[in-house]
Amino acid sequence: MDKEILIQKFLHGTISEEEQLVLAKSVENDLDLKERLEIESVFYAQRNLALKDELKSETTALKTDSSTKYILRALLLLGILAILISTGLYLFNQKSKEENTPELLVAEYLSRPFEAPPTPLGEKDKKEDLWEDAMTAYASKDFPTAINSILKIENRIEIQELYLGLSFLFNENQDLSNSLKSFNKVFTNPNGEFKDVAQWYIALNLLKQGKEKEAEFHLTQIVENDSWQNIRARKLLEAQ
Amino acid sequence: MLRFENEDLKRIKEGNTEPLKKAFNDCFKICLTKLTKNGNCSREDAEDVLMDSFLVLRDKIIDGSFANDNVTAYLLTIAKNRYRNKIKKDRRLVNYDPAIWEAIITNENQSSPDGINEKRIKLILNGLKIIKDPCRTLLYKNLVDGWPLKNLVEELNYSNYDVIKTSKARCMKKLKAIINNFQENG
Repeated sequence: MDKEILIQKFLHGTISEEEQLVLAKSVENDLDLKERLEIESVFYAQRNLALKDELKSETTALKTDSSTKYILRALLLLGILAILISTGLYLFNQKSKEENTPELLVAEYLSRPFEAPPTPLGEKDKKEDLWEDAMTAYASKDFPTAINSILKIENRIEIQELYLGLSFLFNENQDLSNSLKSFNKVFTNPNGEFKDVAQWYIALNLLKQGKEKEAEFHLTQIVENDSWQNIRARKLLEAQ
Repeated sequence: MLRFENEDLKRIKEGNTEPLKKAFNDCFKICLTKLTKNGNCSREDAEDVLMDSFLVLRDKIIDGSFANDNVTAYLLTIAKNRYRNKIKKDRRLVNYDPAIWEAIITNENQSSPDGINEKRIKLILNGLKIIKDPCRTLLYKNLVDGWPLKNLVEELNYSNYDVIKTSKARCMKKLKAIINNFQENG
């Protein structure tokens, strides 16, 4: 077998097992071949190192490139995520803003009428009959009957004036002007028991009429005095 | 399928490493993945044998025996072969493995298993500088440039392969004499 070719194959690492056996045996018995293999191996190593160095620098470049790509990819994903979150928050805020417009809030707060008072027990006079009829009608959301009955009561007391205002307000044919007059009577009563309730409905009434500035005055007072419906009043102020 | 252009093959034969580096960039990762797949070969070993495969590829291109039909497949075949040889190396040939000399040259290993160290390498490399022509040219082209003897027959005006082979054997004896002379005289 050609030793020259055998040596080349050994150096290249392409030597077969059989050829390797032949070469190993020859090296054991041939000092000349042993020294020659050593010299050839040294030159082969020396020659390869230069190319290996060049290829290794390419490996480093590849790894750096991969790391850079990884970092860029991660940054890109973070960027997309940030955009998605921002968009989500923006849409959520927009939706919240849309849901929190004063008009929608007022509509929500006026969707349920103020509770009817308990029906008085015991003997009743005519005046009380009218009041009872009014409140029965009010409880069943028959606001026109409630209005008629309350209007028939002479010298209406505070609570009757309040429910008159409420009936005008919650009636299908809403009468904001008369409603406001009734609430104002209750609110301006210095010793009024229902001043808080009246002020809240005055604010809603004014908002329904588009009188934001006047409504704001009452809403601010409700918030500052920590009055009934102060949380909702704050919401309305924030939504304006 | 990765192939070299004829111009690239010519440049590699002339000692230009750029086409090899380009091929390296194009197929190193895929070769590495295939070699380390199923845990057959560690990443470190795979990188080593792949580097070695490029050295073989360069030599095969230089000696004109590379078919140039699929570089990636060729590299993988060489790499697998080298890995197999690496783990099945005949212990009697371990001392002649170029990897040992590479480690000594790069200071990764201060001495070879039988005690031959960096000084010995310097003696061998310097020996080639001392030897006179025609041996110097023949050995330089064969050992340093990596040209196989059969390709040098015509270039160096030898009548045939057997003649150049005999000439090389004579030149190697001269080189050994120079090296041994260096060694004996410190």
